[in-house]
Amino acid sequence: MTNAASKSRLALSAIFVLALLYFLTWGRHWPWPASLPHIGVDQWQSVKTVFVSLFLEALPFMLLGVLVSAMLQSFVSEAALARLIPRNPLLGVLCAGLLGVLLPVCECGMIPVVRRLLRKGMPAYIGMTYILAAPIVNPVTVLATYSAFRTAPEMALYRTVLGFAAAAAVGLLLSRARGKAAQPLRPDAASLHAAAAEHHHHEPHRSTSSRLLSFCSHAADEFFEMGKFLMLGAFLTASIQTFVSHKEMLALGGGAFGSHLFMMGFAYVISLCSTSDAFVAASFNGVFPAGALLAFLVYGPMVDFKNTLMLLSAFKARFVLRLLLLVTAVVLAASLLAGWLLESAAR
Amino acid sequence: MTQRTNRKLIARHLARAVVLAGIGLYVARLSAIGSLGLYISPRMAIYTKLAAAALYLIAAALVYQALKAWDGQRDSGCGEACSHAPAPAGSSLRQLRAVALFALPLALFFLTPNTTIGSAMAAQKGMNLSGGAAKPVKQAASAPPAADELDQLFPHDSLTKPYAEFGRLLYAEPVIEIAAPRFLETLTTLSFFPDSFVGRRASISGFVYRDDTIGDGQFVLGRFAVQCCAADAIPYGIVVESPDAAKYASDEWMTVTGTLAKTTVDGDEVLLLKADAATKIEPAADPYVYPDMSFGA
Repeated sequence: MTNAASKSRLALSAIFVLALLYFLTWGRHWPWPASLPHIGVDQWQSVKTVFVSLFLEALPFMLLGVLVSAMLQSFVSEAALARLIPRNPLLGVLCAGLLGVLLPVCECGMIPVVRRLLRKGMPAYIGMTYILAAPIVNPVTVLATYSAFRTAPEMALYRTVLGFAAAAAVGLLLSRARGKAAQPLRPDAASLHAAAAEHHHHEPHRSTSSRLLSFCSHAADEFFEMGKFLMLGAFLTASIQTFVSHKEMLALGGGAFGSHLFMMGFAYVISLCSTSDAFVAASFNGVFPAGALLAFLVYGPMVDFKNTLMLLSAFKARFVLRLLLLVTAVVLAASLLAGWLLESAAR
Repeated sequence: MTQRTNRKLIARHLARAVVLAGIGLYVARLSAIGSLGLYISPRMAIYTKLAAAALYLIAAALVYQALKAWDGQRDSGCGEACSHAPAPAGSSLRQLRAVALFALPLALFFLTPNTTIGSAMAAQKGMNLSGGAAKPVKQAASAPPAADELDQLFPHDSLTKPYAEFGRLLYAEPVIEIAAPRFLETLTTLSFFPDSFVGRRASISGFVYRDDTIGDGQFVLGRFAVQCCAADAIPYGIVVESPDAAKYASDEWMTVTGTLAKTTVDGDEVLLLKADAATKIEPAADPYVYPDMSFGA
């Protein structure tokens, strides 16, 4: 870890701890520091409720991802993986997108799995295509979108197609990266740990129970590593949901272009799972054109506040920033085009 | 492995085991006191419970490893080769911080009361009023000429058919109950055919909500619809008109019965329930409503 990265992480943790102390104060009736705005008990309770609910909901999926990652570590060799991955970038990107249809794991669970696969030699652009596409194209999300947009079932189809296309486009753009940019993983303790373990695993005399213990130990390592970012993301998301009103955000979005940008920004800050965001989008039906709703439905599962923090746990900050900009540009362009096509078709 | 790093390893295993078991315990406690539903929907709860069980197992494995390390056995599950030593300088502090990052919120989770979200959150999210902006993408206007009175009241195309059929059922009721398990579907149906329901009697239970768009002598009675967890909750409600409106505090739970009419809120035409009976009630055991997945199937 570089010095700058460790400093920024220290600052983030400090903010988090300070915020929590602040949170604690209302319960103890400590005197309010005059410089801090007064925040009511019910607002802190809202923060807690949303924070806990985001954490508890993401917990099983993150744990599943961590366990799959630990299993990959133990049972899938680099050579086996290399044989499976297509050489051609276009083919690779399409396969990664299709894999998303078959393996319905939500975004919290995918990052540890993809990181493990990248460590085992999978090209970064294929991993990222999977991370971007899977939350949208998987059947659970399609079904949820369909039931949210009962009176406009075509939205589920548009969302899937647009999500797949945008993920593939970002993947292809990323596949052009060479050198350092093609190695986006953050070096950290866990990888050194894993590399050392690799060596260890080849010793023939290891018993099943000791393998199982090492499996649990690796899972715990990764759980804590990812969990920190989930905690932070859930807490900040809960604060945003509590203290920033939708109306204030709505005031920012005007015009066709504005409504797309607004819905994308909105999807980013509320950080919902792809299986439940369709219902929120449906509540904006009639307020915004279909193209802007699609921007929300495609952008949110690909990148949002919570998942940016989780990406930062595995990837270099520079790479995450590049990915964010790329996804934003591609989804904005794709959803504007889709909106324009839909409007022309309606005429 | 030196004595010192071994102690560190044991402390680390135990601290992590305590945090993991603590998360498991928190889920178990919420489930035991019936508060898990305040955070996640019933259909997602099973996954969270499974995760809690898995965390217990991992915690147990960590405790076992700590015990083995205590015994001085070098061949603990994750032996020397991938041990967490050699510890870099300052790593104790960093590890403490990592554990605190979990332990502190967890302690707060335990110590603060479990509450639902209420009218403050509804104001932030924007109350969705029945008959308001949310309209089906395809309007029912293109329906074929109606055969009888009910068909005229509930025109539909293939997509709005479930709502039209449900509307006919509601229309036949002496008092339309806007209640779980079809709270959301009932409100949506009323929104689709507002004119057909004006003058019908209806009853609704929920929490009191008001903001500056709601007129004097009025308030909104609503509930949160939840998909997966409380973070995705969307408030839905109906405007109630009552001479006693000022008496009812926000977030208070009530049952109101009255006659459906129409009014304007913030420039949008919405449904209005003219109350003739209003009673304060205890908050519902499950404060949220969930979309009925089998609706129209």
